[in-house]
Amino acid sequence: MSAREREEIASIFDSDIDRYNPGNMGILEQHVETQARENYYDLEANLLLLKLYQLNPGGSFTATRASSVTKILLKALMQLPKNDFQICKALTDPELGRVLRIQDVLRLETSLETCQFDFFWDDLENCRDSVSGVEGFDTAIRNYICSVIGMTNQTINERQLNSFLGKLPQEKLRRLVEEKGWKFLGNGIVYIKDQAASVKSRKITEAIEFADVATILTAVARR
Amino acid sequence: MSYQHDNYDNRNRRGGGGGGGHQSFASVAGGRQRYNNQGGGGGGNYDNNEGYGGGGGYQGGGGGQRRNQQRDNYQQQHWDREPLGANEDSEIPNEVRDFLTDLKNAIEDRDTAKLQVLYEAEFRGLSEIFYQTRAWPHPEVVEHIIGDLPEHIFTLLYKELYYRHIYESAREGLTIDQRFQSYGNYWSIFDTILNRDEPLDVGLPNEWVWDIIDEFMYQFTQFSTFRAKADKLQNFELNQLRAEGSHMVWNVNIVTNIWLKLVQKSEIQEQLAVYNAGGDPNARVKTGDFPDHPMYKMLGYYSLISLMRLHCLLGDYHSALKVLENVELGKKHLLQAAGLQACLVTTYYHVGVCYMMMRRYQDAIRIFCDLLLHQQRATTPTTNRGSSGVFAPSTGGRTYQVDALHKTIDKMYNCLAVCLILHPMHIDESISSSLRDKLGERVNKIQKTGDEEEFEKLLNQGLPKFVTPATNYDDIQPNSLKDFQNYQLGILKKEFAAQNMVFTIQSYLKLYTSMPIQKLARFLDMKDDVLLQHLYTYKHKMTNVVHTHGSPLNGVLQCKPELDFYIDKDMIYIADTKVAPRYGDFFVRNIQKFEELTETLKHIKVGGPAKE
Repeated sequence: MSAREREEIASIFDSDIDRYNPGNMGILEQHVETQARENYYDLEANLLLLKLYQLNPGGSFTATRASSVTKILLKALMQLPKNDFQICKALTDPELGRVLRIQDVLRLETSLETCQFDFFWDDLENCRDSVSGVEGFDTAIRNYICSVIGMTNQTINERQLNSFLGKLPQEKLRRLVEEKGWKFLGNGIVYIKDQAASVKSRKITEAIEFADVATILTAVARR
Repeated sequence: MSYQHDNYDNRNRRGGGGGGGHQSFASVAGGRQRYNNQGGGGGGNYDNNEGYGGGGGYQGGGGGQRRNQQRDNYQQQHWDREPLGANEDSEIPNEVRDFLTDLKNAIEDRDTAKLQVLYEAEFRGLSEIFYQTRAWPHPEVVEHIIGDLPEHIFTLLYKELYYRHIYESAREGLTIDQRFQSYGNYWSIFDTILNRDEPLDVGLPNEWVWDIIDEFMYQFTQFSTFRAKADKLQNFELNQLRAEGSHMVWNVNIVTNIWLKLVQKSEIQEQLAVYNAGGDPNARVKTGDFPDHPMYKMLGYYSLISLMRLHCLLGDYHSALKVLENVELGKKHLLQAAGLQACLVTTYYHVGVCYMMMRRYQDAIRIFCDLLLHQQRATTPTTNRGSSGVFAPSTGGRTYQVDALHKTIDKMYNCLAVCLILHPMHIDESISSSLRDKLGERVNKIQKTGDEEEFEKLLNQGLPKFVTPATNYDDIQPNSLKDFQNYQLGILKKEFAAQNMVFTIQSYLKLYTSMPIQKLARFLDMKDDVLLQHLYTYKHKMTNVVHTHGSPLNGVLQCKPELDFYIDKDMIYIADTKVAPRYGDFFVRNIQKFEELTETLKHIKVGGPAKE
């Protein structure tokens, strides 16, 4: 990102009142492109652009708008397991759901949210065009899938793991497993981490706070 | 501009002085145009003094006269249809006359205590006696008889009450003129408050200050609903909505800007930041008299709450919570907040809705429970002797506001139920039992049968009425408001659908400490990999951003469901959470009841026939 762009974005956020100036849309749209190209993320700027679209409906949406919204949603999807997609979606014009590329993104989101990972990778191959121009998309999604596995599995079947990750070549898979600190145990089993230590039965016991008995104390004090 | 028609206002404009509303519209519209042309400069630009005071303009023009004439006839027809009936009766009962004189004097003397009584009790009382089926005396008539204060301040405040009373009593029967005029009056009030070198000092009680901000928000949402009902509007209403300049009335940008200006003027964000850092907000360097002034402080704070609300109603949940970055909500906040119940309930409800819509269920549950518990405690007789509950002491006879608060509390229970369906967890026993009383059956049905329709109903009754920001009448698509409401609803419906199978799976998991995947799949009559997919989904959906400290937006990802499990090869290992029985709350409540009882007993005089 150029220094000038960074400055311009910063100056938009300088004033609470000026930031809603519709004149800011151009810079913010450009900023979305930069984020997609340079694999960088700025939620606040993206939300502001969505908000400006909302406040300035101006009849039907243009190709630029559709393209910016698609990219914003894809960038938000890359933040999974965080809730960014939901935040951005709520602020998106429902009408935009008619744009084919956005429909693709919404479908991809559904399969990721419901952990249909095999289906996701097949589907992604069918709509590659819709995610084109967004740097690091596959890697970010793989990280999300790894995080879900990391929470759930103590060990996992290697073949299953690889199918969740979009059938990587052997070498790539090996590197990913290493990167995540997982281990090949042989017999086609991958060791993830010791879950038994963190997933334990718990017992919630009662904690009485001062505030809970404050009312009694005042009553007693009155006597 | 076609809505500049009110004869009274025309006559009132004695040239100069940024008085009544309608001229101010023009200046906003002008400012707005400037803004668009230059593509820069401050938003609604209403701090720009150009366009004020000059008067003239439409006033002298023959065209303007003619328009006023037409307008009068037209308003005459209009009144006939009004259920409330406009009050043209210049005979003002003596009690009302006394009230108005007292009101004017109290404003002049900045007598907050007196204003409180007049505002809270007398206005309501007189409304019930004299003005149940019609409006209060027209502000022009009142001004004629009672007079006014410098800067029209008495008339502005009286008009605020006058239109609020009409909104409250006429409801659906409101005319479009009344909507426009009430907006004009609010605009003038805020203009008077903001565009000056020294704070306006009128000694308004906090209740009134909150009600001004709250009512402004309410009427804005009302207008959004009104405008969206294109098919039900009459021709003359459509014409008025399409008229030049009309898109500036109840315009979301201007409404937002007014609040932003109030926030800025009061420096409330800076003051709260200093306060949160443990400093003394009064000791900081200030840029003027405004931040010190109690009314401006409250205006600033209440504007923050309203901004949060507005963002929430527009579906911008992130910005909503960001507005409150310097407010730490929770038990401590509730204990310290000497604020108004109405303000607290509104704040916690909307913040909770934001969390819920952002899939931060744990935070939503915490926020709802904190407020509901606070409200329950405050309702116990020991702490509020002689009153019928938390709302009674400060709200006096304002029944419609009490109704509104109870409605919000009910909505909160609905949202809480939704959150607990999507993210099961243990909550405070007393809240849990009220929830069971209110919604237990419906929640059970949803959990047992996965009934989506019922879930939707439950959610719909919990959500606020959203608004759409369209400003230009012709930009508004038919059904846009309904579509937007459904769109927001759809976000959580989708969550529900994704988790639907999870309820059944959970009920099996609860029975075991470990079981093979295959066995569970057989029980559920599904393929192994489909079951796996549901198990992963459960883990993912139980992963929430959870608030840590400071700004309501702060938080970290956490996955600590009360029913947890992990998969090792082909086996599922399950860990459940047991909750030890709780006695504390039970004892606290009963000790309180006992206290109350003994207290009552003391006052009972055992009489019987007097001894001889």
